[in-house]
Amino acid sequence: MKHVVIFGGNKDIVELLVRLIGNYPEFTASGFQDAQKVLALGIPMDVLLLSSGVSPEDEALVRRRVSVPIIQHFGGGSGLLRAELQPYL
Amino acid sequence: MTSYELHVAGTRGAADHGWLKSFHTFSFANYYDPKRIHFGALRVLNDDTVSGGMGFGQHPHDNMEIISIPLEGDLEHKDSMGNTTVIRHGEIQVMSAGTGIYHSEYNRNKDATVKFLQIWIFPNKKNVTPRYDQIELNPANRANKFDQILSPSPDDAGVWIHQDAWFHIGKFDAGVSAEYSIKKTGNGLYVFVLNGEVAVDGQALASRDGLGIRDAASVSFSEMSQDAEILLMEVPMQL
Repeated sequence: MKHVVIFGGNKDIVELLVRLIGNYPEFTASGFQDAQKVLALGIPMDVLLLSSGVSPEDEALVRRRVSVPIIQHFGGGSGLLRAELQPYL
Repeated sequence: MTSYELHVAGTRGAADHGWLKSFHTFSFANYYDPKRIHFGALRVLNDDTVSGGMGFGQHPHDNMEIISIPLEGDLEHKDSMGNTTVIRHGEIQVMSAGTGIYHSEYNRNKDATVKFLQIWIFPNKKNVTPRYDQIELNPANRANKFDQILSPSPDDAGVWIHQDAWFHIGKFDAGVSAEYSIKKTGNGLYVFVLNGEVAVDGQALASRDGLGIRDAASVSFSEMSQDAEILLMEVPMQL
């Protein structure tokens, strides 16, 4: 089971992504809108999914500090999600 | 050297949800093929058929340029920007999802199917302000030539998007030949046959076949069947 952390500025979309990824049997997910919370996470993080609405400064910060694979999620919903996560199974 | 990537219609991913039948040229939803993820900035090319009165409930999009081209029937669109519109065959709709929008799309008619192409292009900048536009196209402009329906510029013909992409559509009589010149060096061209048959740089294509072409300055079209209808999508190959 891999844990995906979602970081995005749009609360509704982050919550939707958490729900969609949580429905996949291979993944668990949690979502945050604050870079500091992402960096302070004490749970294992296997993949970081960057959603929309993240400032360039916050994106640079998490890219610098996070050592797991980072995926840029496009599209907002379910259409591309499976293909984006598949390589990390 | 020019290279070609052929996607024969029957090899596309097929999805049947009852009310929605869809063919995916590239990996989408439950269809996954690592060799078919995208063609440059072209990420999604879905060929959708929606049953009467049915449709996609409200759902979000972000950071994507989304183009809808109805091929048959009327599609009702509502979005979180306050737009409530109907798009019909002969029109083109574009949404820049940017920081995030919600929308729904329904077949407006209870007794007829709607067929439309749903095309997603990776944007050249993230987190733009969401926008929506739709225009009516003049079918006369595509008679035996390629008519521009999308570009990167608000001041150019067709709708515009946040990407160095150009779309053209043409409808041809039998035996007519045509040529397309790439507008921006380094861009690729994805040819999608809407109807009929055509030879593209000598490669025979039939209805709903797709051909991705890289490193070409121009592309030739010949051996058209009567009413051959072709959609061209020129897109950056470097993301």
